[in-house]
Amino acid sequence: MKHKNSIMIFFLLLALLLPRMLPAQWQLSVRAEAGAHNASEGMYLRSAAAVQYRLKDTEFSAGLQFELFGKVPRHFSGLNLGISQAMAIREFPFEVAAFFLHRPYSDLQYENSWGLLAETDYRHFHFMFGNGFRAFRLTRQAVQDYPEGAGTLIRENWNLLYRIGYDLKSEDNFWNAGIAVTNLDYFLMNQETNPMLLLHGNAEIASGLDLYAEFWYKQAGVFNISANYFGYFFRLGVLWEL
Amino acid sequence: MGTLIKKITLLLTLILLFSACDVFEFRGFVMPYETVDQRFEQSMAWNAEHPYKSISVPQDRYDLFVMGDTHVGDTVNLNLFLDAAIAAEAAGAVMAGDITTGNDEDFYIFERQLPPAGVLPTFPIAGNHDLYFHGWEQYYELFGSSTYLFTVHTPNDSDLYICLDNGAATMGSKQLAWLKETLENERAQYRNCVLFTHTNFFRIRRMTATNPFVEELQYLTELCLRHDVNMVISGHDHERNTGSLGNTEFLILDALQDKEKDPSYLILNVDSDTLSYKFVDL
Repeated sequence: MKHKNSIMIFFLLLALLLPRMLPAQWQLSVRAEAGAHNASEGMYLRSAAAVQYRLKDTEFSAGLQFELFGKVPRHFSGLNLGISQAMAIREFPFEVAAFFLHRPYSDLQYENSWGLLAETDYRHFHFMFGNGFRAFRLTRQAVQDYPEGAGTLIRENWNLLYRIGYDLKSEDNFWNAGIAVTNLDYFLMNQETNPMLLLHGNAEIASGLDLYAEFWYKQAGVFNISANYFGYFFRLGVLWEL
Repeated sequence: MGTLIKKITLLLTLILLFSACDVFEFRGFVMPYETVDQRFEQSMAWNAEHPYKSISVPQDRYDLFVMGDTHVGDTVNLNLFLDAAIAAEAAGAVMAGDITTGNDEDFYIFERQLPPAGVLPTFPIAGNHDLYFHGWEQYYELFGSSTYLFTVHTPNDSDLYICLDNGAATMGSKQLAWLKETLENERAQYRNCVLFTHTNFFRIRRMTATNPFVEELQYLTELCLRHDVNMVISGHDHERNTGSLGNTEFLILDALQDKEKDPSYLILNVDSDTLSYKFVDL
């Protein structure tokens, strides 16, 4: 119920603010992903929608994720809010960003994370570093159902976040492809010792409309020096610049 | 170009150093000797031929001794732990992984220290170090399963203990399914339920060693809550820590290895209506 209200408020605010903000630059993104991992009990299918609003050097973003098929017993499974600011020191351009991630993965528990990031590009390389903070929490329902429980949250603080990538083409080319290693995705903040390998590509299929595809591979225990397969997923999406 | 060559040379040197090291092994960084699913299947095959241990104690109160990360070679602290457990007439002793460095001879050294089962029942599980240098072969030969359960029966109650193999920072889909089924079918019949793993679930403090992926943590913490798991006890981090989420306490052990600055082990005390613990510093 709480999440339904949040979603309604989000869309209401969006509807109210949209007409006022139309002169600025908007991006809408819709994507779907399918994959499996050791704890998914088979394949899962998800969809997500995100909106980005850029006003000069400042960008606001919001995204929602929904479970279409899989073991997560609820449809709404993620909220992502972000803000970033482009800046430069002398001639060195970079962006600083902050994000908040809400991930209700069960009726009984959810995860709230937030983080601060700094990112920059150098020729075809992309670098992002930051720190993330996570709390695993019990829902109100769990507190009612399990009143004898002693703790309602566990925190994991100061988690190093990173993304190091290489693109074949420059950013303004009509197509691109690349590879990256990261522990951060739209609705997932991994521990620093759990990197994910990412292959991605995108192409402009019409004016202002990009099609993109990604393949993510997850290997558990790489810093244990006892690596083992954990999971993968494919993502397909469109990005529309208004 | 010169800088690039220097960097590649440094990387190759590090690879060679790690390859020659008797503590770390570079090969496992990208490729395991066996998958966690393969180890799980071997553990299940062992369990089929060796029934789970069932311990009966004559009174309602009993102790279980628990330690992790002995990293044998050296055995001074291991023997202090075992002697204390025998002296306390503990119901059993659990070894939560990284019992060795993964080298062949260390498994045999470790095995030689263990008392006969009639004196002290022992319950080892494999940690990431035990898997280095194809260590699982030696582990399996000497100790068998790394995924199993045992029970302790008092005159009035019974407790369930589940030992799990997450040495590669994941339990794998098959072991997770087994754990879920075991909790669904068995948990309700017992008073207390405690899980033992090597790799600790949460990064309660900043650490450099690997933990399970977040999706696996979410799955496991929900399972623990739904099935009223009292405790999850792990090693791996080498520094004690505790946290609780719902009904479940998550305990991380200090390392017991001889070269550790502050080694300790844990005594799990089970009484008619309490389950408590204390760390014992060496």
